[in-house]
Amino acid sequence: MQKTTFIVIAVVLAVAAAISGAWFAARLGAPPAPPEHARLLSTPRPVPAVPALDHRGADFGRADYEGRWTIVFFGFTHCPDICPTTLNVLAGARRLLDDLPEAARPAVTMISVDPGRDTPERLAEYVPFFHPEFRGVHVAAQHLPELARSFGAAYAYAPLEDENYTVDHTASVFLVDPEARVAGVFPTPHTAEGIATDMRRIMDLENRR
Amino acid sequence: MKLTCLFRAGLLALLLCAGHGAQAETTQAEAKASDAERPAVTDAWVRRVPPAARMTAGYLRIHNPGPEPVAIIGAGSPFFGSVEMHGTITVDGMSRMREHERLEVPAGETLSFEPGGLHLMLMQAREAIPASGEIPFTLLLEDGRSIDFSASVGQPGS
Repeated sequence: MQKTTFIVIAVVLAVAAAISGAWFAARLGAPPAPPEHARLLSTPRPVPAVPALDHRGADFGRADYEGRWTIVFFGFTHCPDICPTTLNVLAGARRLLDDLPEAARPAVTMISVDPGRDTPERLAEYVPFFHPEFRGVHVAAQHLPELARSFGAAYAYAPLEDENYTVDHTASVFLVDPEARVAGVFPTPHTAEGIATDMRRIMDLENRR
Repeated sequence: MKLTCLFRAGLLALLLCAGHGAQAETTQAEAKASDAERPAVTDAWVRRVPPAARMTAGYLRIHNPGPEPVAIIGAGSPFFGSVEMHGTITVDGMSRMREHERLEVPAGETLSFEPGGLHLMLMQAREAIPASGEIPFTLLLEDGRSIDFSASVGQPGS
């Protein structure tokens, strides 16, 4: 007898769950697809307020991240391979998102890990070459560690010949949400299509919240 | 390190100057035989960079049709004061770039220099790096041969 009651209750609960599930699904439409390449942080971390300049020499701060998604790359201009490769991929991803309303298109920012050589003037000669809306950001050497740490990015200087040096750096691409919080990361390798598709999915997920 | 470099630079300069003379000394038959087995460079390109850039990267494929491995021990271009072979390795998202002094192409195989991996690091541009056109290069092989090729300036897929 008790067993029958249990079964009846279980069936009633299952039916109720199915109906409410169907109701929610119908109300919300198809469930949003999760991003394929990006890893989203369960707890986004606020970008710390450190003094910075963009490539036009204007102050660049938390307010510049607010109101739209920003794709952030840590790179440097004396970087012959991985930085131009990544900036080209990001330019491709941005162009694939040109159909979105202007405010919904993600901003793209390269934060220099080589503040000694990458002055704002030098960043101005370099970063917008890849896409006219890309911004280069110069952060003084004493503030760079704190900023990089908040993203989970690392960099180290490695000597080359003739007192020249190169910079080992995190090649992953980061995502800052419209509330100026580090919200996700695109691990390597990157493709324009992969990043563009994921950006649509991430913004779609956000809009449904 | 410095000495090796000087030696390599000297060797390269010698080859660049005397390359044609040395070739003329080989007999016709020898030249024909080695032509078929001569490593060949294809798909060479140089990344177009902002006018302010002082360096860029070159990419290519080199095929070794011969029965023996060949090793590349240097590269040069009249457009650049320094050309080195570098490899980018990305481990746990951290990208590192290191010089290779010698790269081997196994018999019958192709070695690819491509973005995010091996590249010719082109430094000390003698003048502004051109935004289009072709840039001449020479690869120096361990067996004393050299390969001349030209690479077009552009972007991947363009």
